[in-house]
Amino acid sequence: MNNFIQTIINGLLTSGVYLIVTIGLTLVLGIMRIVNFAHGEFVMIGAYITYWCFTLLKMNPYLSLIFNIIILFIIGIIIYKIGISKILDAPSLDQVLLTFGFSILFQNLALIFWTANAYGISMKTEIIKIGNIQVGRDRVIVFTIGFLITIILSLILSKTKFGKTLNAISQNRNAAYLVGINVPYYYMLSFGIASALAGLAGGLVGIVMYTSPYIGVKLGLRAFAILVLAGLGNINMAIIASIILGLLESFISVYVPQGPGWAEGLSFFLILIILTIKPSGIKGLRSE
Amino acid sequence: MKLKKIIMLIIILSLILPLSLISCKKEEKPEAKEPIKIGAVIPLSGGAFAQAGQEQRYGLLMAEREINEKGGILGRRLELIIEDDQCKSETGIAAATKLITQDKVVALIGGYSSTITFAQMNAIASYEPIVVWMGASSVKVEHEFGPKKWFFHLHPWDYHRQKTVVDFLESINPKPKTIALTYEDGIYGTTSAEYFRKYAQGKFEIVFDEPHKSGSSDFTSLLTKAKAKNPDIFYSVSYAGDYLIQIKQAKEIGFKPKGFVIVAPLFPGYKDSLGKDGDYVVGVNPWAPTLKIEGLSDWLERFHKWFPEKQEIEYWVPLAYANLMCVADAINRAGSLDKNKIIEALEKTDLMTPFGRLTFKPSDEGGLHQAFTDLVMVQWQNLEPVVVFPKNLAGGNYIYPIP
Repeated sequence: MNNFIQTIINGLLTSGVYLIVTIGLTLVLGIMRIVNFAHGEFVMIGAYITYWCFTLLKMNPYLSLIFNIIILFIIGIIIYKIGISKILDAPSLDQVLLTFGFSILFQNLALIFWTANAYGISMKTEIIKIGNIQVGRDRVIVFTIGFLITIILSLILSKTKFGKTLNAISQNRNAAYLVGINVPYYYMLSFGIASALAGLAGGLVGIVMYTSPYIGVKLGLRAFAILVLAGLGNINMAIIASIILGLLESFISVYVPQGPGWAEGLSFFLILIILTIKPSGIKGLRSE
Repeated sequence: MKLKKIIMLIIILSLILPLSLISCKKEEKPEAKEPIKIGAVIPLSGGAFAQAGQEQRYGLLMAEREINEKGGILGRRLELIIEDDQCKSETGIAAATKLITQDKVVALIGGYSSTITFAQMNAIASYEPIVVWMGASSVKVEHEFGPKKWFFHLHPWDYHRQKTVVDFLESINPKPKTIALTYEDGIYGTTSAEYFRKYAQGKFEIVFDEPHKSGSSDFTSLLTKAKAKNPDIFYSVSYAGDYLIQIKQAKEIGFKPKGFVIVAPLFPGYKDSLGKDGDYVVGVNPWAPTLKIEGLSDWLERFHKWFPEKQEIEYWVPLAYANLMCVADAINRAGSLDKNKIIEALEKTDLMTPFGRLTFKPSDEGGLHQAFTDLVMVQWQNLEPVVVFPKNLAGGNYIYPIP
């Protein structure tokens, strides 16, 4: 029984990491209709910022998240200005190639500046123990931040004027132009916010995992699986989708023979199944 | 008249001959100064292997500089051409083929991944180049290319590593009874697991035996499953980044086996990344900076002078250094660039390197030229690596069970 509960908790905590990585990607796709293949690399940069703040400045990793958000927001705005803004109306293939190009560029820059070594943050492992079940404190914090940020973002999008404006642009860009909304400005802000969220995610990933130039690649894959499962661009359903993926991986790992190997392939399998059977995602909310 | 003609001929010849001699000299000069090219293919970008590839690069560069400082090879400058396989087989094949067919290198060195090596050697086998390979530990490579006259191999094979681990586990007092084994599901992990099972059979009970994907963000489920089996030893065959998470997450879920065993525990960043959480982990390694190898302390001093920015070094650095040094040594002894003479010289190699004494001997499973076979067990104690096995090389006792 203990094993069963521990498996559920492990899955839930993992879903928190997946969710925080996915949320920025979902925002860009939902508002701008662009799949940002460099999103994982923004996460990677965030992880490095936290690592260097901790190592060089002896800064509390959670405090460094503020720097992550600011720096990645600025990087996001720059990338938008020099690249993304030029291909907004271009064919999807151009968008894919551009963001993929940025992804390769950032990976190689990280390799040049920080080598391929994997680095972790050597904080004392704090444990939360309830009965026979125990979990790492930092993973609980990451889970909490992940879900809180997603809920706040969802509320901003549905309740505030800013959010409603973004929704309006998302639904019909031309109509938004006609009613006087400065669409390029809101696009730029959205991309900046999504990048800042990736930076925040990176900092949290750096705390509970490690960082290396390729850390964004595998996390990016999970994010795409959640994106597809949730229905492309659907922020609320991303919460459900990340919990489903986290729990499924956890249960397969523990209860299926040779499970850990199978669990890793689950993301690919989900993408395949959802796109084949129900391309609109679990709630059918994908908009074209 | 005749005399006049002879005088004219002498004058013309005296003008032409020195010119021709000069021109001959001019043609010979660049030929004589033309560098001797050796090609290396290592992973420098594109994936997790790049970490080891960048270590290898330091060793190769140091060897190249020292060889050229001492007058090069056969009086000619050594030109080392390093190609990046980008952790991909197809890029590795293209790089190796380019070095052989376009750059016309005398020998091919380098290597890391067994999978990429297998593909590369298949692709270039028809050229029968001189290959002196530091990477690839899978016996699949040994079975296929070990018997080739042109293939020389430096790194211990899988079975050397697994035999060392089993011998070490047997030496522990009190002897552990149960083992949880997990391995990355590539060619390196699966072959290592096969040999471990083979050697451990009848000696230990393997209560958990599961693969995992390298690069995973979460190992808590795997560790929870292993914890439920309550093993004496947890043995993981994987890569640096995976170990960082596994060690941390084992602590988080309260999984505390009596012994935590990994492969190659001296990777850069281990100490800084794990701190005290990394203490008491033990791992199998073919080298340690504290080993009593003739000339090692001098070599380490020279290395830190060449590369002051590089403080921690993994075993790939001295291995790569030995890789290039042994090829240069063989060419010098061969006295020419003739392929057969170099192969003959390589077979007779007896060279002291910072990795140990380098000679080529037949290996256990069919290889003709195998250099290193010995490994040690290194345990992190108070954030310092201590050799704990074999006893004759040990710098301290193995702390067991983990306090």
